[in-house]
Amino acid sequence: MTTAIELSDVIKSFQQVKAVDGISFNIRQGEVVALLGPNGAGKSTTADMILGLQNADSGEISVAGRHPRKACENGLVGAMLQSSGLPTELTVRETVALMARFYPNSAGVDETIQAAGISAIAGKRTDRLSGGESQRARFALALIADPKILVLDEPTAAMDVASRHEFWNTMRSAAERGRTLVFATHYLEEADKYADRIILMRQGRVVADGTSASIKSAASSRTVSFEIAGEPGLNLDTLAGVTSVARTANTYRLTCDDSDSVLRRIISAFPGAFNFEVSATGLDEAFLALTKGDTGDD
Amino acid sequence: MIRAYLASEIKRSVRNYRNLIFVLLIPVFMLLIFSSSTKGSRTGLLSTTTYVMISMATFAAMNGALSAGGRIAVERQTGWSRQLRLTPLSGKAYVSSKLMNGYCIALPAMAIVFLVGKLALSVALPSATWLKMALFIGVAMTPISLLGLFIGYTARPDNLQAISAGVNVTLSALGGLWFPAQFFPLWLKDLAKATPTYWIAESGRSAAEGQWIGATGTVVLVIWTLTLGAASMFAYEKANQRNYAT
Repeated sequence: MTTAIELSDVIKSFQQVKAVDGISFNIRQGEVVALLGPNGAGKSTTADMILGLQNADSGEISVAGRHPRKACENGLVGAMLQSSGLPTELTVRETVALMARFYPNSAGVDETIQAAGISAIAGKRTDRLSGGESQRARFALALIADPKILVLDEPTAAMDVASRHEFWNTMRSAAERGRTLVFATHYLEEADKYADRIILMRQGRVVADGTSASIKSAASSRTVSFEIAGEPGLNLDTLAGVTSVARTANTYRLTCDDSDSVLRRIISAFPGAFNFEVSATGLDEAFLALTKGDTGDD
Repeated sequence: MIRAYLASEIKRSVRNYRNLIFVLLIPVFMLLIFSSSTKGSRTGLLSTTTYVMISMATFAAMNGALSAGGRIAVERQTGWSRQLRLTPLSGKAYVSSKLMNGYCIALPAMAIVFLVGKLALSVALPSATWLKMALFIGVAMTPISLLGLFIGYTARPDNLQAISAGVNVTLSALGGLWFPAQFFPLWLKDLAKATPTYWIAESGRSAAEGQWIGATGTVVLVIWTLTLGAASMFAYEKANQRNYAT
């Protein structure tokens, strides 16, 4: 499969803040990828750079084998930006028709309106749309060039549960046509449900990259720490459920898949062990931050 | 592409009734009030009615150009201009469409003032002179169009109204559009002669008199054009580099 989007060692700072701090990933044509992370993780900045709206301070970005700006101008990329109004005093149809004029090979006005599922609101003036409706109108604009790649930044932010569901159904049929779909979200559930692959971001870095299942298992790991006076006399690495061991003085920190069974083994093997502590790993913390559903803008 | 965009911009302006009424009707309203007491009097070489009519034509053209530029500020805020940046429509095409759209409002606004002058206030001038006045004002108002761009790329929608109104009142009053500058005290008259609006109206009046505004006026207008051209280019660059991730 060909590469649709490629980022290598991309860094972007605003004043003193490193919004994106050295990220690399490849997205293949046809993949549906979620950029998942809490607010301020660098998802929007990453999306902006993929779209050529912002230049990276360093690192390389290529989209459909070319510079991001070129890819957009050639109509290979369609986008729904996080904050993008529609032109006032035009109807939805007129706005779609205007955009169609920008691309020599546009998907067609009627076809696009149909594909985005906005026939019912096509005659409405853009300033009279509800949040969810205007979001869907903007989705139509993202489809107008019949792009191979779609980049959606928090596409369902303004939607209620019902329109969110409907939106993803539309999105799915857009992706079924072999399109590459990259969407930024801070909803774990959306990423889990709709993406083949999740790139989990936190504080400008990629902290995990894989299928939803692999991320979940990584995220569910725990650290078990305890103290033993003297040597354990047993190779802790080989203990079932342990993925790594760190030792400082008499304190051992075991990263585990299955902290419960490890804990039982340790207690029975070392009656003299004390100061037990079971804690979530950093990735889990990231997940917690996500699932807590903190609100606000990033 | 740029033609499609310009056409939709004009359509949007025409549908923006509130702004359109303000731009098209206020100058006419003011013209009718100001000229009601000027019958038969003269200001310089022109009848006072003609003088006031040209001032109001300038005022109308200025309102048109400024309102078109101000829309940029709104589109920057809503993010529509960002969406357009993803399309093949170039920044240059975007800006020049906004400028041309400004003229598409400014010129009819000016024409309506002239029409009222001719039909209701019996200002009698040869048809070539009407055209020449429109042309002179149209060319001389370039700095105002650029000022509209500058405001569009520096103002925020929540202070746009205040800024536009402030600029509008200052330039109109100081430029002698509402009250002839020749009745100003000397120091104020000197100040008026530094404004672009004074010279835009003067260029219209000189056309009515069969003259041209002369070297001073031309130099003032060129300086304003260059200054505001550079300022709006700078503001444009800066706005496009800005971090949008708010």
